[in-house]
Amino acid sequence: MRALSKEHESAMHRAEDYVVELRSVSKQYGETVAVANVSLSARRGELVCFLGPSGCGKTTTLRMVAGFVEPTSGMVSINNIDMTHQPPYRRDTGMVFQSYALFPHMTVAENIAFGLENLKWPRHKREQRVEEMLRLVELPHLAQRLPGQLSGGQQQRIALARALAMRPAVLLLDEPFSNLDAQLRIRMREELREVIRSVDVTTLFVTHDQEEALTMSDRIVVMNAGQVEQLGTPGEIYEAPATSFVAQFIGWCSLLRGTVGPDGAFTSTAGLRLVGNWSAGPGTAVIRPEQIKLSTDGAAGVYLQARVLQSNYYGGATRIVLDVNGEQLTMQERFPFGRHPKPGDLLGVTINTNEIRILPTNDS
Amino acid sequence: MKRREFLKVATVAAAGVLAAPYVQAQSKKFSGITLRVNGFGGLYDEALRKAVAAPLEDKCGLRIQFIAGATSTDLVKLIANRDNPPFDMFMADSPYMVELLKAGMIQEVGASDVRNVQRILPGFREFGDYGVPFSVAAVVPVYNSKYIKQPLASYSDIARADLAGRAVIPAPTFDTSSLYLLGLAEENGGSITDMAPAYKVMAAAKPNIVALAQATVAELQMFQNEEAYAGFFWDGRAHELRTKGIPIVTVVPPQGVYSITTYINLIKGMKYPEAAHAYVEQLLSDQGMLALPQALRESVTTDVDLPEELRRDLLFNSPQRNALKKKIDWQVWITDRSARIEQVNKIIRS
Amino acid sequence: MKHSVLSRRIVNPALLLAPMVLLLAGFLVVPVLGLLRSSFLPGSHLLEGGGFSLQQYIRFFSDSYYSSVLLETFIDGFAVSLICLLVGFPVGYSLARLPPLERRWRTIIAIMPLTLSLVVIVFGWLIVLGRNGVVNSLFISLGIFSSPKQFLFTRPAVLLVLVQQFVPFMILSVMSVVTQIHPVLEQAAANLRANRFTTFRRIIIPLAVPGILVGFNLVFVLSISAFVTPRLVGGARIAMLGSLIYERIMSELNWPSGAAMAFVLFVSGFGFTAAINALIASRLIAGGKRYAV
Repeated sequence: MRALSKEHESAMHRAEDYVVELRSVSKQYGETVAVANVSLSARRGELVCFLGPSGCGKTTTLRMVAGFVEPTSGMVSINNIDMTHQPPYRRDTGMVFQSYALFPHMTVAENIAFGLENLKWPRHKREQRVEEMLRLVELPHLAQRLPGQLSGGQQQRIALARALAMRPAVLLLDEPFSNLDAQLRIRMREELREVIRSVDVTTLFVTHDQEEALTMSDRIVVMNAGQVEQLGTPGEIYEAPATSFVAQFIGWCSLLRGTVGPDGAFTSTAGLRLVGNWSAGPGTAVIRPEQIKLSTDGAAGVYLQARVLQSNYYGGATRIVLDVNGEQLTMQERFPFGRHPKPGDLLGVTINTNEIRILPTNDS
Repeated sequence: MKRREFLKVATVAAAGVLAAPYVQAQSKKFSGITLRVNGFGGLYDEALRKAVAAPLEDKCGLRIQFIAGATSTDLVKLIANRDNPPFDMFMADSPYMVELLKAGMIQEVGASDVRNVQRILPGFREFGDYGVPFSVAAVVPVYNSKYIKQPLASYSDIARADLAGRAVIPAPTFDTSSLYLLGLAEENGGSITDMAPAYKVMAAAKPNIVALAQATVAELQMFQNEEAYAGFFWDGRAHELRTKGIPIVTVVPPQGVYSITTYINLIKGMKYPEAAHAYVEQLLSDQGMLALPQALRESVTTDVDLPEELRRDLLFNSPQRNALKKKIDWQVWITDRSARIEQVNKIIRS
Repeated sequence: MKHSVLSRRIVNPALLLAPMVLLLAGFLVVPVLGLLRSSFLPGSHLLEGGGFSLQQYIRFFSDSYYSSVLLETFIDGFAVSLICLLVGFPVGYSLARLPPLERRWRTIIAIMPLTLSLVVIVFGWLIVLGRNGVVNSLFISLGIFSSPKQFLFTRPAVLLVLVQQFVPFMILSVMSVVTQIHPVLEQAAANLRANRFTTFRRIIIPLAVPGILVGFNLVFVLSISAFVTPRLVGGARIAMLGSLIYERIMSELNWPSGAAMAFVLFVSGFGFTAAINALIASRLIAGGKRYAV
């Protein structure tokens, strides 16, 4: 919340406060463009997430911050110092790798102390810090274990402790939860958020999981094919997607191509008409599942007759793909037990047109 | 086919040139007989084939088959197959003669069997009537005159200070090429039963000796590549080096030369002693005797007249030189092998 | 279905091992035991006679010459292994870090020397190191030497040729173990402020210890038992026990004594490698974990 409210004024007036700055950073491998022209500024304590499908360039961007990949062009600075061409070990970052990368021949304590030794911390301070970090991740009893003797969740927390022990300016997380099972993932997500908040470290975070991105980040950078599609708060990204890619990638939604007439109403190519007050011209309608409701009279919007194409039970809610006037729409609804619709059933639905966005059709 | 053609040609030629009845009788004498001899391989067998086997085949149809191999292996084969020996005749150097005699596998050959045995020089038959000597090779001091200006004069000169790091000698593991140890012993008041003086010289020569050659070819290469300027080597091989343009001088030590003799033997119980005697006769003839000197500059064992260009190169080329050939108690020499190897190893490799 | 697959797996390992075990037992263990037996024979020629005697061993240990040769053999073997490690580690490491396709032909080049006959290799070195050889000619033409230097028939030459012969074993063992060390560990170390040297010393080396030990042991054992190279390149002046054993058996036909020397070499070599292994393992792994809470 804090990040949200301060964001704009900070961005404009106090550039020197940025802990991490990427300026038009690009990376090419021969003819292949992995990352194109990415810019980002993150303030102290901010948690910024790179979100996108695999191969979108998010991990490459993170590795350029860590120093494992040298940008083809652009600049990376940390604490306002140009780090573009510095080796990783000169950069004030702490990274949690996807595979955790704990040193298998060192105990947990030795792993955590490794960075401190390289920073030439005196022995007693090292020992103190290691204890402190183990308490932070609530695993003080594992100090003398070897990584091979730990569970996945424990390894992840040790990797976090190891990265944070050096008090880095930037914490880098590369898909930190991808090796955990679903339940643990949610718990670790909350824990991680808490730890990061408590040490107030600027964090860059790579994930392909939109839920992770939405719940954890102050801001999200949505990437696709090496390009930034949208940069904004989770709310902005979800509620006001800048492109149809973002709309589709974040949350479930149905995209309808069509045109907004002079009367401000949208007509899809198949002929589905949504009454509203949009600006005229060709466009794509973004319809979220929660904007479609079961209805008998159309009180809350346009009443439409729909035929069920698919019906999938997700525990609690059922996700239904509908055929409405030749367009496919997805909705989500709770049905009483034993009364789930089957393919072929007919339903009456209304679409809440107030919250529907029409994106201009110049993107693909 | 070949053989029949040859006989035809030989018969026709002989009939034209010589008295027909005599030649006819001779040519029939050993036709169809093949004698197997262990060979040493290469130039050696080639020379014997040309000067001994071929004329014999021309004269009396006897065929000689040389089976090249290592003497030690052939000896084992021979002894192991006592009842069905793989060879009819056996060529062996002096040390192997001891083993052959011990095994009791060879026949005596006297002047009554082979007339040319009478021509053998005195002192060249080391085993009584056993073994017919046909070639002699000596281990003598040699040096490269391009680098060594003060000539070596004896075996003991190997310890001379100016040879530091420049000498190569054969490894003591061979009974044949390690005869120089005897030379060292006797030049310094020792004998085959008192080798201590030889080891004393070896110890003094240690800084000079850059390598113990493990094979004749290896030593040859070291002289050829000028890795070594002096040492002990076979007289014939020294000549080979000279033909390659390396100015290697062969030294005749005044107190005596230690040499091995190569013998031809008839295996006991072989089927054609007469044919074998004919071979030995030819081997000891002027033509046969000059074969090895011509090919390898190894010395002769008979009173054959040496052409001047050979006489110059051979070590044993006159009665005076022949008198320098030392007698060796081969039995003792072989028995003491282990002690010698150990002694030299301790001196040189430490 | 599942059951049959499972039961087959239980049977297989023993069956798969059987040919190897039979081969080793028949052609290695039994002859070695025979050799052990003959080392207790009293005679000094071939394998004649019977009886039991410690004479061969007493002869070996009562003569300081042999223990000094044994010691020198070990020092040489240790030196060769160490040089192979220093030379072979960077090569094996860099090979391991290449993509598999590029690694393949480079590996073939690295192990090429193993496919050559030892005699060919040794004669090659004789040409290179000789007084009129390539090295001397080069240095003289460059004006570095005024006259040819003696390289052949020296201890350094023997060590050099042994290193050249055996370094592929070190390269291969290091390579195989480094491919198991995930490169992400090096990145993690770099991220934890470790420069390349620290990463190498504290991450790569400790994790490569198994490969280093295998390579070290292979090279050491091959070196102390070498006899062709010391005989030819050392001009037989360089004493290594292998060539003494060879001579004792092949030239003197003294099997009992040769067998005893072989067993002394075997047992002491085994003890020496075990000691070295323990030492290296503890030292190198300690390099990784100096710090303990």
